[in-house]
Amino acid sequence: MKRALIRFALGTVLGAVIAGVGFRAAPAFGYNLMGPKWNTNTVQYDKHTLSSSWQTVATFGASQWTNVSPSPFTWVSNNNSNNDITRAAIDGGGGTLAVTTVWYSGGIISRANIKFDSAENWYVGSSTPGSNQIDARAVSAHEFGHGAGIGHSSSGGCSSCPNRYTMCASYVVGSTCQRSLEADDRNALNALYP
Amino acid sequence: MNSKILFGAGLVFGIAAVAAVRLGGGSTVADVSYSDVPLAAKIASAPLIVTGTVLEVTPARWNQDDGTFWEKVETDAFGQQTVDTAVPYHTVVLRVDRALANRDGVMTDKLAVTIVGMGSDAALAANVDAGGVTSLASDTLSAAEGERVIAFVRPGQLAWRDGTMRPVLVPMGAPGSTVVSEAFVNSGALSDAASFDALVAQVEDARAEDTATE
Repeated sequence: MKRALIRFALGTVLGAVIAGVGFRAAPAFGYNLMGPKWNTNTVQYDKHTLSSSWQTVATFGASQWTNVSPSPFTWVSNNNSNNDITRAAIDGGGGTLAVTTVWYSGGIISRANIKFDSAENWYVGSSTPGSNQIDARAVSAHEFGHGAGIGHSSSGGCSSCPNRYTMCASYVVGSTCQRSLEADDRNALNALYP
Repeated sequence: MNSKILFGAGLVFGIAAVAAVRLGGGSTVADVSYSDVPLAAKIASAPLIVTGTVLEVTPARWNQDDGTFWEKVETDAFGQQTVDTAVPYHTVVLRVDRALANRDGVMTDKLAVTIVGMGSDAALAANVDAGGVTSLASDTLSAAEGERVIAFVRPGQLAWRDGTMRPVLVPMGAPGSTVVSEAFVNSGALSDAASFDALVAQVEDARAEDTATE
């Protein structure tokens, strides 16, 4: 009996390890998927409480994930959506840039909120930020990736610009290189929404 | 009973258990983005750099007094709505063995470092069981309870539901590369540090003046 229990326990531990790795990572690639996903290819977001320049930033971030071939996934702006894109205090300047919160049940995402920290030294234009500024478009593209269900990329493609993955875990201050998706980012979306 | 069958049953049970937690009912996941702060910048400018031991990593809470999720929707006279939602955070408590830099003089023998995000899986197990939260690697420490660490910390703030900003100590950059264990550094995970002891020596050299003013 004791031996049988040990066998069962060993199997359980191994199963948990396999599942833990499987649900967190796609080891053949740099990208990681959160696990849950939307059960539709068209997801709405509400940016209407943002200023006009920040609405442009939100639109930019969403659009990066909208025309990824062959994925049919699309972000669509709608003022009545409860997928709120907001800008508010998080932890003062120099810390967290943004938080994306995703609600899910049974593997299906039901809601996603993106909050940008209002205290950061943001650059909201389309040109080049100053050396101590945070490029809002790059961070927006990153957060909308989370909103779709994509996690942070493994460190392999996260060493330097200009080909730094959008979904790398951190942002290089003063850079714009995470504005546009790299192949690994597109592969993540195509894997999630083929 | 056939031991292979039992092993297989355990395997399936383990996978199912993890899947239930990862994909199962009524959960949220928050992902936090940080600026990249190179190790050299942390060494040169972190107001507080300490070596110590992780005493506790608290479960995640949302940023109001009772720790539950909140959402604020306000409508102005023109019908325009503004929405604000809760931010998750957790706390890492360190017993300080040694201060390598203490620019602001806020050090005590125990430090509580507040981290925006949901933290490690282990720390959140209780919350997940309660229909709470899960985490991603972005806000996960490279250290666990009982481990020896080096921490790069600065005074910061955490927004509270009532609109106030609470003074807290925060990591200087992404937690995974800011509060790091001896084993993590010695594994070569920080490319600019050959070993934990070498990193400590590097900080000592760079911040001798800050240490001397304590």
